[in-house]
Amino acid sequence: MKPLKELLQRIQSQPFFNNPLYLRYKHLTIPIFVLVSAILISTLVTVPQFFKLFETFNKIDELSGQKSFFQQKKATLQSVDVELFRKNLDTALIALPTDKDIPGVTGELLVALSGSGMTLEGITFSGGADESAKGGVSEYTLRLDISGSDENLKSFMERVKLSPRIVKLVSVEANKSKSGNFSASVSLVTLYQRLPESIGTVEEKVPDITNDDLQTLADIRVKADALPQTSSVGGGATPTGGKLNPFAP
Amino acid sequence: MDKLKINLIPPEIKEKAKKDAKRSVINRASIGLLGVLILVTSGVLLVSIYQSVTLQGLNTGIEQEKAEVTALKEKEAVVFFLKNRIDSINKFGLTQYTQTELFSMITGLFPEGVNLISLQIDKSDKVLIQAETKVTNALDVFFNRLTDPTTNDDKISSVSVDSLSKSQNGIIRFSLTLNLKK
Repeated sequence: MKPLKELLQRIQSQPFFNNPLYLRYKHLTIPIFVLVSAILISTLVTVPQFFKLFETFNKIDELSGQKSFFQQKKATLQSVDVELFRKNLDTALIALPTDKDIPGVTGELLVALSGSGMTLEGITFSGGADESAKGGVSEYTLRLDISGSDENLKSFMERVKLSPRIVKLVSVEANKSKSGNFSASVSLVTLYQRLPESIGTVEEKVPDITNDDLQTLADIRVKADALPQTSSVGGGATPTGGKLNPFAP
Repeated sequence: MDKLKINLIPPEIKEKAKKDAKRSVINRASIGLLGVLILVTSGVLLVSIYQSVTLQGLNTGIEQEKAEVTALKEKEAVVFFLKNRIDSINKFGLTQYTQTELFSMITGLFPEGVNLISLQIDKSDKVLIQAETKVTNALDVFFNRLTDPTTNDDKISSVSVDSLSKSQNGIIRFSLTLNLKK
């Protein structure tokens, strides 16, 4: 205790502590010290940290949301039956293949032709539109020169509608010949789309396959399954077998 | 006998004692306030530290979940490709039958006795028809059907007759332009 007392005495013997101004306001030393400390602590630590708390709470909320999103995404992906989805993708590719698949669409149209009783006189393929304009979907035109009766032509149009592949009728020009048969020039457009090159980032949601999507796939499958039932008879002037509408009982 | 009270303490000492007591209260209050401020600051800092730990935990968790999701990329690709394909099918498939429906509708409007000679449907909003009949009534029925919104599915806005001729054998030939609604 003695060295401490000595130290205090030495400090108090300093001229500052004998200054009359100091002696006058000596009693305010502690409150002023407290005030300065309080201001410093508040401005440098308490207030900034306090406001940062709210910001951090929001960030925690955001990250919690992100974490639960990834957990949900993981659970969704884990529940995906890859085989089933691959099968569904194969079905979807029937309607919209990844390449032109000219033999495939020609085969379907020939089946429709023979089923309707129309006779194929000629077929022409021509290039299509720029794929970038249609979100990566490309098209090309098939022009069929066909002949047959008006009923055959109607039947052919109906059968084209039932093709599992997306085939759009662009134009039809039908003329009746002297024999009573129609010569028709039918322009059809068919579509194809390359597979996307990327599947997006990990932050993106897993696409939801809705009931409507499954219904679309089921429709394609029904149409595709109906195809082999249609027998192709060359040069047929009379309608041959094959259900016109595969949805009908 | 009343007690006699004599205060021998000098008044300046009493005054000083009062002032000292007042200063002591102020000092204690100041230190108390500083203590409270330090307590609050400590609380804020503790919550802040807790938040930092939570944030770190969340970040680690997210990275882990991301890695696990990335490991399932193959499954995601199949789902993504399937959805992309179905969306395209729905988008382009739904509008694919416009001309086909038009063909079916127009050929369905021909009454008994009116024979189609030529028909031209294309991307434009016009359809050209050439037909013949021997029956005037059938021609009337045909025109009525073409112009009646209930029978033409409200797709035809007007019908213009480009030519109309009757031959000696009584066959009426006519050419029509159907103007379709846009």
